[in-house]
Amino acid sequence: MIETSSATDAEDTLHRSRHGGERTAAVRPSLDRSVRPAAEQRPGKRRSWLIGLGFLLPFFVPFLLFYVGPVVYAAIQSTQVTERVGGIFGTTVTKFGGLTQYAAVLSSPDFWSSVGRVALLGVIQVPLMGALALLLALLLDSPRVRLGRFFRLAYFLPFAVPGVVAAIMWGSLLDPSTSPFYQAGLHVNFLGPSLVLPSIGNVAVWTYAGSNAIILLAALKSVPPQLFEAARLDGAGDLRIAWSIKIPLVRPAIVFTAILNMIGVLQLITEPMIFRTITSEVTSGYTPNMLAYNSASADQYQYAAALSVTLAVITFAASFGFLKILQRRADR
Amino acid sequence: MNRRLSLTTVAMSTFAMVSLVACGSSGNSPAAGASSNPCAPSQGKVELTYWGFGLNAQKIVTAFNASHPNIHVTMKDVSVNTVQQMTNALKAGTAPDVGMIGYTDLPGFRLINGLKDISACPGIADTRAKLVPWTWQQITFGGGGVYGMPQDTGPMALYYRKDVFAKYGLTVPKTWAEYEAVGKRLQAADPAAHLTNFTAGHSYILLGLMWQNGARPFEYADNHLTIDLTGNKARQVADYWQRLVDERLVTTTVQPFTPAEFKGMNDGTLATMIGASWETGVLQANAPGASGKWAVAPLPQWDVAKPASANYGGSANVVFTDSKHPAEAAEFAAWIATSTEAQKQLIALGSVPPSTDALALPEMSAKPAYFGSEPIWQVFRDSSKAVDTSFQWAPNMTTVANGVGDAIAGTLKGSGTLQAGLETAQRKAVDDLKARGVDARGGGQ
Repeated sequence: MIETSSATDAEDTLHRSRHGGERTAAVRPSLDRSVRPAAEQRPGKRRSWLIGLGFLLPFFVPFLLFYVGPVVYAAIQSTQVTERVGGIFGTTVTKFGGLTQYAAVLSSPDFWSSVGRVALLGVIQVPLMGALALLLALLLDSPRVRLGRFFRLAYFLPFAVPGVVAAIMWGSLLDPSTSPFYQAGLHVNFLGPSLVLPSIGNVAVWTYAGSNAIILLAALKSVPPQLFEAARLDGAGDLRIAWSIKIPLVRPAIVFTAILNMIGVLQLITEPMIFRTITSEVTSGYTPNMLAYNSASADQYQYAAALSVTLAVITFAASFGFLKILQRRADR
Repeated sequence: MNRRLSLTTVAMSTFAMVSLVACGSSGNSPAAGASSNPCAPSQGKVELTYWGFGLNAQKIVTAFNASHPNIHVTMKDVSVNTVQQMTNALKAGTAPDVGMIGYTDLPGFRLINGLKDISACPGIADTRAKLVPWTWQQITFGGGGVYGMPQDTGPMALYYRKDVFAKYGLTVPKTWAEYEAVGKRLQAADPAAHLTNFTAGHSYILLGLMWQNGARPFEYADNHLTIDLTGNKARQVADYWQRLVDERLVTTTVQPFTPAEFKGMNDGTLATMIGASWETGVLQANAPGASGKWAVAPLPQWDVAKPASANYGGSANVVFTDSKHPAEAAEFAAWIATSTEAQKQLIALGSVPPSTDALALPEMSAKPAYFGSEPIWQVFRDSSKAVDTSFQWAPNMTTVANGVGDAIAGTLKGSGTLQAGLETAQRKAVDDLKARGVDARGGGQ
């Protein structure tokens, strides 16, 4: 049976090769053993491809359904406008409106001031957080550190605290009438006009610096010790080794965390939403994402979609721009 | 436990704000596919789905099911993002039969054609005689259709600390001018004490006080709507609060429903609170240390000869457009509005009933020890009677309230007057409605 089938297979192959197949007539219609594995490979190949697909599905199906789908839907919504017939409570018609919603977004002073706010926060926070995370990672990586495992967990812990809980906790610490700092005589209003943005940034740093440090630490752990053993023999101190060897080697990880932080700052919403309940300083459109969220809750889905797409484009541009600048510096 | 109570109250207050929607005769709501009777009862046992919230909501549902063998209601608690959840469900065609919606949000739901007109349903027309007139206005928008049944209300009053007033020899203010004078004397006597708090979180309080003054921020004409947050009556209120802020008589850092506010309620640094009847529950849950020290008086007046009040809070139960059993859904909503069992559960949470029978319940003569064993419900009952019935809300109160909150924030920051902020809020609210196809106009145009 097998022979017959393989013979047919071989004939097939020959047949195909005559019609411009890649294989030449080197494959003779014989029972040449070398043909057989090749012939049997095809169903096997299909199976392994299917197995591969099976492994991908658990990721791809939700990814398409809950990520790509909504993105496409938002993009479509952002090009639509609503018209109404029959008075105030009449019926609505959704029409294609081109870039109407985008024009509204781009001409909105609220949008630009919210973008400016997160940009200002980002310019200060991203380098600061990067430096702090790197410092923590280098300290943990140092052979002199005792209780390394405990500190690793301790740094990471704030990241595991839900943002809402963290913001409520910080809110109580910062609100003048409940703040222990205030009771202790430090009469500073951390929720006032000048300090509310740094306070929000502070909560974000507290949350993410530790988790960034863990990512950087993982990169540091993969640096081969031989690299700095030689340096140590030459008399380099810890600082020198960190500066000249370790940091250059984990640069990709530093860039990665910086980009993550940049995206995080541009998309900031949880902390300011909670701060809004404790201070008047955080207005309804304090960050771009809050603006989009509030527009959606006010049933302005199309405008909210255009806002979100615009924010996504700005985020892309900022991330890629940042990468380009770094690459150019690396090429020099 | 306390915390949960307070959060629920917050949720109630956030979503349950009251209005008197008396829309002009613009409502052309054709009953789609109108048969001879657009609201005929269903045959056999009916299963209803209900989205509601509030501490005693499930008790109310249970009592209804026990007394109505042919209807069974299943409730889902939607205390978080209520409006958003219902809006999305309507869009997706998965809305329940009945939903609980704050009065302020009713016009918004009507704008997206989410509400069924239940005026033709059995027994609905008869409820009119049983309801407090202004609540009827709330659910009818002043037209012929009925878009829900009132559940609870929150007439406003002035809460004040008896002990603080006695300590500094202050008398309970009858007018807004006296209220300001109290603030000045208090500030002179104790710089740490404040008349009350006023922050971005007080947007609905400010709108309520405009309502009390007879302002008409949201007016419906035949086919258009005017938003006027800056008219004379509204301006009088805005200028007054601007002055209290400028004179530093009110604290501007203590937001509502925060630990900071609860602390102020407890220790007397907040000498008065302007709030709805359900604030009784907030105080008892979060300021247990101040038991016996708080008292209730009518709102200060602009004109003592013509006492007026306003409402802040409360909801209606509506029948959503796609309900397969509108007659039974409407029956359930009407039962909550008028039945003694349901109303007792709501009074326990600080609601003033929307039906005249329930207003006469013995629970409404209670004298809570927390409030010095005084008959405080009499004050709220009178407040409810003094609510102007022609007040209406806009169909985009989320945007309006955000705008008013931002206006207050700007004032506190010193970046402009409250009046200027309200002009901006008005412009944004108009633009928002225009973008949604509504012919909206700003006041003074």
